[in-house]
This record gives sequence, C-alpha cells and structure tokens, in this order.
Amino acid sequence: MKELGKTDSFKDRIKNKMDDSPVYKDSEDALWSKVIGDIEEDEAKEKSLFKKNHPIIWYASAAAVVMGLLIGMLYWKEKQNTEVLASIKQQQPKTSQIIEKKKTEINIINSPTQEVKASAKSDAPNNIKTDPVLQILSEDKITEYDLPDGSHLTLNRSASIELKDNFKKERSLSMQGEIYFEVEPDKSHPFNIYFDNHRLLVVGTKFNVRNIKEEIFKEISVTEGIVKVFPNNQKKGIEVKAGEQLKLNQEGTIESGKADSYNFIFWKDGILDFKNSSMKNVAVLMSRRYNQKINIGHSISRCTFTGDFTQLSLDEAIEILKITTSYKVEKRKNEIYISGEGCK
Amino acid sequence: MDRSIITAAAEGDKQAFRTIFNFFVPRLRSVALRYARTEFEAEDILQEAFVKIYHNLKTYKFEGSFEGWIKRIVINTALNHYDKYKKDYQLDNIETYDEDDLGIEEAKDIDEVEPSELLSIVQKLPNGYRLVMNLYVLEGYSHREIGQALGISEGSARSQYSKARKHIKKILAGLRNKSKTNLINKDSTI
Repeated sequence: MKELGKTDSFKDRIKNKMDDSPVYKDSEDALWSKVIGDIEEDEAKEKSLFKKNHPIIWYASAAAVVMGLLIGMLYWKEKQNTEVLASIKQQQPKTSQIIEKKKTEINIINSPTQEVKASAKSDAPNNIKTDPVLQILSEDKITEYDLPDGSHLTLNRSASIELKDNFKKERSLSMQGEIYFEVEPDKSHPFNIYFDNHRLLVVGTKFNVRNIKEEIFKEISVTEGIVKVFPNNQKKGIEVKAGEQLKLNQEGTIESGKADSYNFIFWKDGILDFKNSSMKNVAVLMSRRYNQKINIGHSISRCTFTGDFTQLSLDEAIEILKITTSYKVEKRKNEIYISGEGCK
Repeated sequence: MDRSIITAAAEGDKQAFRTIFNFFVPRLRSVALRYARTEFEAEDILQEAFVKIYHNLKTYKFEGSFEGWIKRIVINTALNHYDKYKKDYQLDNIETYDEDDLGIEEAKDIDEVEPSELLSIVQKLPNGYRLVMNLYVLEGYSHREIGQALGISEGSARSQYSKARKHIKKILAGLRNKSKTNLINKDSTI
C-alpha cells in the first residue's frame, strides 16, 4: 500500500509540474500552409482516382461476381471434404478399442492429446490448409512424441504441433510454444518447421524452438548440427550452428550469438550447468526455471558465470551465486536483484 | 468551439477549418512537444494530425468534447510516429537495470525543476519510456490501455513505466548534484 502511495505521488507531482498550457509560435502560418497543402494534394488524388477508376469500378464489380462464384464453388468443395472426413470418422469405431487401449497406456507416460480435424484452422500456415491435420497438444505436462519419420519431439507445457496427413512424403509441421526437436536424418526429405511468421529448415539435427505468443523474441537454440532459419519466410536463410542461439522478433530483427544452448533445454532434462555462461543468460534461465522475476545489473550482465544449479532450489542457487561471485543478491517485493562490480 | 464551424469545416469549408486550426494548434503543440524529441518532430506530428483531423471531421458525432476528440488524434499520430519503439522492449522475465537507480531517495526533485526543464527531461527519454510516461502520467491511461495502444502486454507496459520512473529520478538526482557542484563552484569564486 505504501508503495502504491509513492507511485501516485510521483505521478501527481509530474502531472502538476507538466505545463500543458497553449504554446504560441510564429510558425503557425507555415504549418497551416503545409497542412492545407497536404489536404489539397489528397483531394486532388482522390478526384483523379475517381476519374481514372471508372473502368476499374466496372472491372471490380465483374470481379466481385467471379469471386462470388468462386466462394460458392469452394463452399461446395469444402462440404464434400467434410463429408469424406465424416465417413473416415465413421469407420473409426472398428479400431477404437485398440486405440483406446493404446491411449490409456500412453497416458501413463504423459501422452499427448491427439486430434484429427478438418484443417480449416486459421492459424495454420498456408501450405497446410487443405489436408486433414493431426494436432498434438502437450497441455500441462511435458510430453514426448515420435513422428512417423522417426524424429523425436519433446513438447514443453502448453505447446502444440500440427502436421499434415502426408507427413511422410513432405516433412513439415507448424508449432506453438516450446519444443525440443531431435530430427531423424534424411537428406532427401528436408524437414520444415513453421512458427510465428518464420520458417526453419533442417536435415537432421537437435535444437530447441521457443515460440511463446507473449514473448517478443522467438528463440532457436541449437545443440547439435546446423539449422537454417528463414525469418518472415524470406528467401535468404540464416545458419545457426551447435552452441549458437538466434532470436527473432516480429519485424525479423535478429540477435544471434554463442550460447550455452544445452542449458536452454533444462526444462526437458532438468540440467542447469553453467560454464562461462553470460550472466544475462543465467538470469533468463533462472527466471524461467524458478518462475521468478529477476533484475540484473547492467554492468554485470555481460560477465560470465560457472556453476551447477541442477536440482538446486532458488535459495540454494542464490547462495552458490553469492559465494562464487561476490555479487549482491537481494529480494525486494518478490523480485530478485543481482548486482555487483562489472568485469573486464 | 461553435458547432456550426465544425459542421462547416466537415463539409469542406477551408476557412472554417482554419478557425479550428488557429484555436487548437497552440493548445495541442504543448501535447505534441512532450511526445516528441524535438520541436521539429512536434511540428511533424501536428501537421500529420491536422490533415487527419480534416479528413475525419465528418465522423465526429458531437459526443464528448471536441478538444478530447482532437487530442486523441494527435496522441495516436504521435504513437504511430514512433512505431519503432517496439524494439525498445525486452524479452522474458528479466530486466537489466543500472545499479545507481536503486536506493535513490524520493526527494523533492520534481518540485524543484522548472516546467520547461521537466519537458526537456521527458523529451530526452528513450522512445518507449517517453510514450509510456505520457500515456500513464499525463493522459491517465491504465497499464492495460497502454499495452493495447502500444501492442505490448499489460505487464510490459507496467514494467516500462517503472523503468521510465527510475530513469527520470536518476536524471533528477543528476541535476541536483550538478546544481550542488555549481553552487560550490560559485562559492569558491567568491
């Protein structure tokens, strides 16, 4: 409560101090002529567009008619598709006993939830739009899954993948959340992963993709081999090698560099063993592992740290950090602050 | 503002629009100035905003204050102007901070600065901080509304504001130290 009061006082005092009273300048006439210039330009454009567009308007209405026909046809096709799907579904009961048995078996070892569905799902990339899609969800458990080609996936909590029926012919899938891929080598069938707006191409490697909706950066950490990433589906790919990490944001802006990639899959193996890792990465991984907000001093964020946090509680990890580095670690209002002398 | 003037301007009467322009530009210049980094940028924002205002006058339904309606257009224009601010935001649940930020006393710094000094402090803030500061403190938006306006999460908006606050305090503390040393220097010359 006290903190709240503090905040408000800062807010109020800034607000009171800020002067929003009118500011008169001599440049008003110049500004007016710019504004009116822009407006007249817009109006002129509008007029000429209207004149030129007369025939285009005609075309547009013709196009609308064609579109209408097309949509009608698509609808008819879709209907047919769903009918086919329905009949497949009807056949299913024959085998359902076995499936159900299998399902309960797998359930014990964290079975993923599988759903076959008509693929009208809007967030699936274009290339997986027509065929039926297999969706695998991990829900609230870390889940292992074997793909038909022998590739092995580990899905972190609330992750999902979608793949087409013809996956064996064309190895491609789309994904949400965080997933560790161990892709079966097969040079004649490259493996494509679609996430956010990006594409990732591999032949046979091991890597972690973190594609969390709320996070600005999508993160690819490679533990074995090489992957090629195509930000925003660009034609030019970026290679990321074992021991490197690539971060992409929506505009395709990129951060890449060496990283202790194996630590970024701690969620799968439970191992958090830092060897000359940057303090920034240490803080990122501690915040994920302990679900804890961490603030790290700017001057030490590039320093390195070596230490094994595997199986340690948060308090134990903090103790190790304090002892081995002489950093100051404090808890304030449920947040952790790590600070200290910078390194060179 | 007289209703007939607004209606006339909406129907394309440039003279009526000039009246609106003359009345509101000085009032909104002060707003544009605190969203911008320089006077020139403020001018660009105003230019863009008033073109938009002209084209959208027809959509004003005389509900709520006309000044509020115009001000929102200016603010939205300013936000679009700095669309690249998004890059200023960080990932994950960690933050790097400058150690000096901690433990700064809540001093009476703000009360001591001149309004013009405060404006120039705000103008020098990094884009993300400046927008959040303006929206939260001066426009009274909630963190959620700011998140929506800037296309970031509510949590990011909140933490961005707290960083902006620390940043301002740091600048104020720096100013105070400076003025102290100035005083000392003055003394020594006497």
